[in-house]
Amino acid sequence: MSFSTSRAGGIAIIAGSPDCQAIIDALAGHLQNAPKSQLDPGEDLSDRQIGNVGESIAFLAVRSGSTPVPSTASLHSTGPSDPLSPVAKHGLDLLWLVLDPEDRDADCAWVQEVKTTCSQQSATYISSVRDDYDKLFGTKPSLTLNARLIELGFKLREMGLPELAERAEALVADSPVSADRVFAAPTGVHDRAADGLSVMQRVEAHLIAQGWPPTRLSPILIQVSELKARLDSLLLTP
Amino acid sequence: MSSLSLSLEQAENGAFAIARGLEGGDSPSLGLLTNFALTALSQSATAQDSAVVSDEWEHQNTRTIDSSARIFAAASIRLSREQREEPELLVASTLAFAIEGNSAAAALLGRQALELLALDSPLRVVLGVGCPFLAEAEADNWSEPSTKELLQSASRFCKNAVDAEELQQRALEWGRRSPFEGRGLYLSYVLRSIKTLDSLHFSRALETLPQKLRLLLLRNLERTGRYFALPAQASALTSPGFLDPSKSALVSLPTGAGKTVVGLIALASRLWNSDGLGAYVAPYLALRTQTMSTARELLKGIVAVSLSSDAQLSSEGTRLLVGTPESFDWRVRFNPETAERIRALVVDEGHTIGRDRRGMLADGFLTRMAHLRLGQRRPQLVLLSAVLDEPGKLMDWLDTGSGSVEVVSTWTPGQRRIAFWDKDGRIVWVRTRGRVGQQRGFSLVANEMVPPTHNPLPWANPLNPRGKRADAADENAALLAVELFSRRRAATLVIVGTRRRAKSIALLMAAGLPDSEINSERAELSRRVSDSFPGWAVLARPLLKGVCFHSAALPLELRTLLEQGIRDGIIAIACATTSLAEGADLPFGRCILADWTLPTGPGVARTFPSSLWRNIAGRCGRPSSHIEGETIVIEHTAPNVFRNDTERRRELGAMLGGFVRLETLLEDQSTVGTEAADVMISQSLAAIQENPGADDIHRELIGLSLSGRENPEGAARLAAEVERQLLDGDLPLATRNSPLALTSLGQAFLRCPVQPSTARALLSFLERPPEATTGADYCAELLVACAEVTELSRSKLPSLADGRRVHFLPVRLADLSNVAKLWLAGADPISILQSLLMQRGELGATAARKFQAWAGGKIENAALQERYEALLDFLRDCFVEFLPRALAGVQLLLPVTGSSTPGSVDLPELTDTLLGRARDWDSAHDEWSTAMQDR
Repeated sequence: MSFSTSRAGGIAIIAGSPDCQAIIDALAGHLQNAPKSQLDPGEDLSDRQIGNVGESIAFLAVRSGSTPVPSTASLHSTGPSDPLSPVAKHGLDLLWLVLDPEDRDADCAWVQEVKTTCSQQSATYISSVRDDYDKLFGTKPSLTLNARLIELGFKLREMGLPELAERAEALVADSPVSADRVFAAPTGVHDRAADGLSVMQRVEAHLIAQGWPPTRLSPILIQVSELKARLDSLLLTP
Repeated sequence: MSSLSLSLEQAENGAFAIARGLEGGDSPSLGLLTNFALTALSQSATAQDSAVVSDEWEHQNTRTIDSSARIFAAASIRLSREQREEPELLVASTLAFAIEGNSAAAALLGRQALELLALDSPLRVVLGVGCPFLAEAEADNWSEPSTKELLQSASRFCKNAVDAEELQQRALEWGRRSPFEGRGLYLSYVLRSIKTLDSLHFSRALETLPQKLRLLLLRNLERTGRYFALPAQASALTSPGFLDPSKSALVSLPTGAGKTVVGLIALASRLWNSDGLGAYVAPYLALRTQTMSTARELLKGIVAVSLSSDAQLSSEGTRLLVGTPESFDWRVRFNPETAERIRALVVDEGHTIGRDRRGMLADGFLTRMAHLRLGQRRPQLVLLSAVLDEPGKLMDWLDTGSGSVEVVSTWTPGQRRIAFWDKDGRIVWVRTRGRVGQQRGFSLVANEMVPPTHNPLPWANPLNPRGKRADAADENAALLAVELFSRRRAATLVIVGTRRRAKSIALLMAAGLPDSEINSERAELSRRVSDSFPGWAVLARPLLKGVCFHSAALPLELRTLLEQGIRDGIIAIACATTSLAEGADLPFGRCILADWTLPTGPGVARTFPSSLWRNIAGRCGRPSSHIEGETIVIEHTAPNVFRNDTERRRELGAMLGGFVRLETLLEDQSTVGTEAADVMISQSLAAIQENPGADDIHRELIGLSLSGRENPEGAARLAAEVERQLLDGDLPLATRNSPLALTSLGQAFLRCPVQPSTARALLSFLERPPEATTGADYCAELLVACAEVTELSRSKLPSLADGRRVHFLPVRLADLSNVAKLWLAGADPISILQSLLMQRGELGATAARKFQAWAGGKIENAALQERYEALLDFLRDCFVEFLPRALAGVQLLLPVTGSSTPGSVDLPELTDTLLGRARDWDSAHDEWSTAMQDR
């Protein structure tokens, strides 16, 4: 078990178990299984790569069953598959689908947008995750939740799965209020020395004000002490 | 659509209100609307793939896509006003319009989006120039197999293989090197766009035509930038039997949905492999000119096209004639062989048949051609009409025995927004409920305020157009136009009932606009008008700020120049009488209706018929220049016409949402013995000549006419009246010795280019001993003798003949001979005005200098301007329109009556001189005379 969970109000706080290094070890295993891009020797981690690595950590946390996102959900985004890619990936960070085998009306989606910061002084950067959620119902068509779901449907059809496509498209909605089968899991990955909790509380308040009901909002904080140093030692050491 | 919390109507209203910054209504956020549109679009597209097609479903689906496109566009407009450009919204809108098949709107927005997109933006590939819809095929490298299929499919829509190849390469190259956000979204759009466009491509719509004709038409359509039919056009062209040369057809489409092209293709299909003639009947001169130009482009290499008034058809190999009902009537009277060669007649604005004097003439002419002509080959009729609420009646009339096809589409290329400005200064935006073609009501969309200058409002009184209220009403109308223009810039047309109001409001609008509106193009146009059109310097000042007035009083060349100015965007606001309300295709985005009642007699006025209202509303938001048009009606016009506000609002509602039905002149009992009889006597004379063996052809003509079928009682009375005037009296026009035959007087009346009642007045004139010794005196005598005839009833001559003075008109009865002398000598209207004023001693030294300065365009002078315009009207009514016809009639009647003319007057020469001057004035006036010469 690499992750442990505690709660602060509605926010799930994930830490390494038995210690922070457990998370980095789990990440190392993940990288061995699906390595695509590599760092050049001597090259520093870019912000974009740190973001991609954070997504992979969030992915592993979900799969471990430590987060409110069901661990059996199927992932429909490519973010965690290539954490060291220098390219920002298009689409949602983590889009999870939970398709009920008995009742199609119980199908739901989890949208997990992830922000990662290695700063030990401040975790304010995490607050920008709220912009990602605002865009889901914003004025740029291709960034909206609906566009993502429609695109997913299209992709599933291409894969010869028209029924799944239909079920994914059935989740579209025009506002956080009417998206009654879509859950938001804004996630921050940060250094334990910084105060991520107060930042995430502000994010939570903002999203509730935008119409996300608390019952469909599950903020997650993943805390790792000495995050930057641990990543450097994992990724940059030849 | 169950997951959406907004209804289509709420969403559309919200988008409209948000885009315009209006108050009230359910105003959701832009993000909410965008999501709504996106979801609605995708659900609709998914549904379309799997749905069982039914009318209701199709209607709902079309509305959904249409609404989505408009919501994206509205959101984009709003953001751009806030300096937040979102090209992606424009792209989304473009593609949604493409999915709907509205290629005009898609092309318009696509061009705007291209301007906003960065040169390296992937969306540029989506909108690729020359093939907007290759789009999307945007060739992302995500799903290879379907991408290839898409490209193959899309390449068929490119102008040529080279374009297709180039775009394909660009798209693929781009797809290889960069990722693209939202590619799935756009790819799904593309699939829909391509499917729609494939079905709308003209090559599909014309599949049933003979191969060679189809290829020629496709070539011409492509040369004029027409690759895809609009959905309404496609539904007409693919209707079973529509392109069958043996069938008649009724095509009922909304304004701007492309009726003319459909009508011309129908003609081409009926003339192919035949040696006959085709006729395109346009009810107005403006429409005739427009159609002529479209026909020449579209039918190039297929048939030669000429104006029906042009002479010598055979030598030029002309196969298609374009003209007004009058010009066709004259051609057939003088050249009966033309009628025998006509195989197909397309009649534009078919719902106007029988409606008024002109419609009655068209009714008689078409009935003669398609229903009488016993034992001869009769042509097929294709009627093009705006949406009628009872097309069945026209269908019954159309069926000449070989079957007929009905095509009705309510698809419109642009949304019509409607509002009225109430007496509290509130613009109340409303939307119609229910589908077009059904009885409608209204629901409130939003409000906005434009407080009037005069409050409480004194409004225009059409029954007293020169009253104090009129000035205040003009100020209010000008204020509304300027205020809305400053809030949301859009070329604006203000429609008024009189020329005086048009000019007054235009001047007020120009005064209300800031000097920043002046630019070099406007200054140049203003200078050109002052230099080239003496007497119209009054236009120079408003033109500086992009404002003009427009009415039939302006010389044709000046009108053409102003219309070009509107097309080029130099003129932004025009105030016009109904001269611009009928058939003009100009890029207006907004129309303000400052008058909506017409005086019908002393103290009486009536509301515009719904059909006229729809025609006016159709002037703004034309496809290819706008995706929407807004029409605002000034509610409190005509205070004396309605008893109270409730009645006014009810009448307004009836006009805006009323039932458009067939109306004929016979419904008005009073016209049966006068106007209707006059027209039908003339038509009966022609019918008797064309059907030599018939006994009661005049009764048959009236009974088979559309007006007669619609109103059998009126028709019976009309037939009795026509028979009385044809057969009874000392000078009968026909004899009933079985069969009916024309007397020599009837033969003369047949070719006389005036109404039969006027021809009788000419007979009376010829009975008197001639007194005139000069041509000018003869003209003056003839005018006085004919002062009461129908053709001059709207002129000022009857008042002059009664010895009354006419306000502003510088002509007295005693001046007639002098005016005729000057006119025959070739004097221009300004010289005639100067001569009249000098003769009256009104031009002293100072006044003469003023006159010169005014005539030279140096100064404005309201009094001189009014006199000049009154003189122009008088000259046009009497000397251009009437006298040449009357003199031609006199020449025809002289041999029959045995009367004589003064020896010193050379009638043929006098007629030629007058005709020459009439042609100089307006070339459209020669239709009847060329028909006569061609004979």
